[in-house]
Amino acid sequence: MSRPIYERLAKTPKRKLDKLEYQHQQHLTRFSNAKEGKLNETQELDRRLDKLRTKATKELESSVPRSLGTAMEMRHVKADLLIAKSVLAVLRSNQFYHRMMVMLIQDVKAGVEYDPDRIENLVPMEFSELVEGSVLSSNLGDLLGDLGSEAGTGDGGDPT
Amino acid sequence: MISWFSSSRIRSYVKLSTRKQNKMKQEIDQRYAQQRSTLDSRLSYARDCARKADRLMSRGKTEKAKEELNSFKLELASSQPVLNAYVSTALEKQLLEVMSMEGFEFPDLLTELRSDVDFGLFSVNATDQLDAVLQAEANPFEELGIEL
Repeated sequence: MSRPIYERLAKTPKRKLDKLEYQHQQHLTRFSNAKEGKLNETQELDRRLDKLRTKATKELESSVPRSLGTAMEMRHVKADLLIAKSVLAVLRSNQFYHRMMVMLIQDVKAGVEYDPDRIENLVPMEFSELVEGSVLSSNLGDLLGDLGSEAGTGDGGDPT
Repeated sequence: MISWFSSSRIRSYVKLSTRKQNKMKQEIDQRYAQQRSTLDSRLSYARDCARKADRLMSRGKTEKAKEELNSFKLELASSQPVLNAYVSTALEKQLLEVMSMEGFEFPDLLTELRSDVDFGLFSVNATDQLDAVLQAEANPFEELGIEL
């Protein structure tokens, strides 16, 4: 997969590689910072949701309607949390891409032999948290699977 | 490939001129602000109905409380399509912001390396799918054990 990229890099002059490495390093910093910002937002939403959950549970002991009001607020926060986690995944994928490019360029410059296993092993390290602890890994994964088979569709189409 | 990233509308955004990108972002920003405001007002009205029902119940006015609870249910049902639209627009708005960042790449390489990477709501393309996902995931009532 990344072999063509590696081979292309191997044919690139050193001065151009230096420039490319610098650019990817800049992009890496940019996406890492954006990811940190989104992570903070996600944590803040998680905290808000926890507070509302505690409040609603407490209210439930004395009055169901009062708890319903708080649950409505929870609904909005839950939706915002799903959005933030989805955007976080995109930022993380870009961070990964630029990190991988920096690593490949450095490998080429150092004359390191191409090792596909090393690249593939990087992915689980970067994404294990995302795969294990986020949206699709919950029951949403099954739900999306069911919906996909019901609709009998694969990819494509306008999302809006 | 993940559904949102295979959409031609999204794919072509990066190739647009800055002027056209800004125009598209502006349109989405406006739509987002309007949907957010509508959603906020529906949720706020529903909360008011729930609070009124609570007050009426505590005063023993059961029938009036039932009426308020019915209004709550109506607001809850009517807020679902707005919530779906809001989430869809918010996703698009934030994706365009990320795509405008220098160095943005579609996650094609990553998905080729590993097929189970979770892109959350970006994996959902059709409106009915989004509706089903939000009904299941953004529904606090079940979590609280409240049956409506």
